[in-house]
Amino acid sequence: MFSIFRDSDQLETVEQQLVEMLTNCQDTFRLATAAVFGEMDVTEAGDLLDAVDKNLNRTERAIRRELLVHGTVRGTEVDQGLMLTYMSVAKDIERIGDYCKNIWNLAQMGVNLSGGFDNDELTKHCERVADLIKAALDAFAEQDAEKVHKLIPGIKDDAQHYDRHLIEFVNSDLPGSVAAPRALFYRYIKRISAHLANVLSSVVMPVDRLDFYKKSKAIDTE
Amino acid sequence: MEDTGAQPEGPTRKPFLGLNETAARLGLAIFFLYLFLVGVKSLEIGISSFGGDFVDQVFSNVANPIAGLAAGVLATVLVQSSSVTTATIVGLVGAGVLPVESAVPMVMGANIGTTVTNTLASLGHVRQSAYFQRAFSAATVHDYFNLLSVAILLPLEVAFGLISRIAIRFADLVAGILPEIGSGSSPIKSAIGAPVSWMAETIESLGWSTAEGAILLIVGMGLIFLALWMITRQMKAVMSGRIENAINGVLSKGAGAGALLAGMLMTIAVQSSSITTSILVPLVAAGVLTLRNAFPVTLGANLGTTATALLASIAADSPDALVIALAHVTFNVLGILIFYPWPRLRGIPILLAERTGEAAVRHKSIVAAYVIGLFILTPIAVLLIT
Repeated sequence: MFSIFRDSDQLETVEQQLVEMLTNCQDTFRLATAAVFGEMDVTEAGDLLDAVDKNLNRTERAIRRELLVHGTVRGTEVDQGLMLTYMSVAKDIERIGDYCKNIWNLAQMGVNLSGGFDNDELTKHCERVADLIKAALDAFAEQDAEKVHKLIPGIKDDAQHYDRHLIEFVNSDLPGSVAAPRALFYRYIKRISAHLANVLSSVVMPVDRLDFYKKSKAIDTE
Repeated sequence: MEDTGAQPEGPTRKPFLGLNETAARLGLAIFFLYLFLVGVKSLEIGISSFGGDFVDQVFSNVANPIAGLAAGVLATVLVQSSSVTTATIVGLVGAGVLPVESAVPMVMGANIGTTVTNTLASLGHVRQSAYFQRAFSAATVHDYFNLLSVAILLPLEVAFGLISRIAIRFADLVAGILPEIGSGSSPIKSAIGAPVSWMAETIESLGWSTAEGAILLIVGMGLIFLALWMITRQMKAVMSGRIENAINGVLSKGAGAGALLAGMLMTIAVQSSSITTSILVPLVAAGVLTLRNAFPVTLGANLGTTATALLASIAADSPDALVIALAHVTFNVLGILIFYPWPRLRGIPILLAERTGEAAVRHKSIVAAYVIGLFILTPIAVLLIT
């Protein structure tokens, strides 16, 4: 009987939904790269990816509604900074899903990145991004500031590395069918990493500095 | 797809209220519910002691049903709470000052008057036209439903006593099942009456017998105000999580009987229809809730707010107090039965509210004219004329 009056916190539900969205991103990235490296049938991967991506989009919309309801019902009690942060985080995670879809689109266009001269390097980057999604998921779920401070500088280094590759392929003499998909691929994984960094920044940065990580300005180091 | 393993849980967060605070707030709400009933009783006894002249004066002022309706609107607008108005009306009927037939239009007026709160809440969205249009529509759909219900049911009440007759039947039924209600002899009534008797004796012992009625009336009104405000405050804090869940349910499942039930339960829980309807306004303004889906929640809130009068009737000795409380329920149930089940009729208050929202955005002066005209000038003019 008393449980009727037990307070529930909608923000906790939202946090779990964000974690679920990040888990979805693990799946979308795995499916997209499996398709573009020829490890999985493109149509089959596309169908699965589409289902997960739809779930991502649905969850993002649900989070927006729930945050609005939370703010409306709780009034001045709510942590408005956290609400704005979670709106932003949901958008970043949803964008990761979109870039995974872009990678799958390469496969749909007939691109197969496996077996080329740069197979090892591309595979290494794929594994790195997959590991990063998992690490970001854990750090966000645990709200582990220490992990975040370790991960973000690495992501910044990765971004520079991906940019160098991108510029290299844009200016290369390789045929367009070889250079263009690789340039796009590096662009997409750079954006995925950048959005992961944004998600991670929500753990340590104040609302006005979300997406603009600087260790000296982080909440836990100020 | 590979198995991703167990999904990590999100960051753990303490709920807003711990179990101890929840229990403390519930205890306070029960205590203030008791004070509310003591307030109604005090008001009833205070008014009873004013004598026949006062009774005649009050009765003559609201004997005209249109005047009673206007008085109900104005009183509710002034106190910003239909719960306070209906509880007072129950007290007046319980004291024998007001016959049920005269009280029914006042209760209808209270229904109209209470919508001013969410209409005022909608003004907060005035900066952005599209938002304001939706917000004002969400607020005025409640007005239109009440106005249309009154337009149909008040003539039927005046001509045939429709609502009072149904309420009397229901009151007889309740008295048959729970004979202690209306008998004045239940343990609850004794517990409510004891502090009022003590106050009356204290006033007499101080030699202020001539002012006894006025003091009890003022104390009663004060307790009703304070208690309802505190009950709403405590229960809103305790029920916020459930309210969020209920609103999220309405958002995901859409309109229907479930939304009506959600609106009713939310309002019973917090003892304020204004809280329920004012929550809907920003959600409709933001576009996440459509006016059509908000409408049944509003109707549920209308029905839920009748719980206050029912509670107040527990304190009164006269069976008529229960009759007027049930008349409030009957009016709202009939209004819902007239407008909600039939899509064409349901569309009328919605369409009127949409048109009003559009007009309000085109001419902001309409908003001021609407609020002041409907809730202040018209009732004052009616009272002056009648």
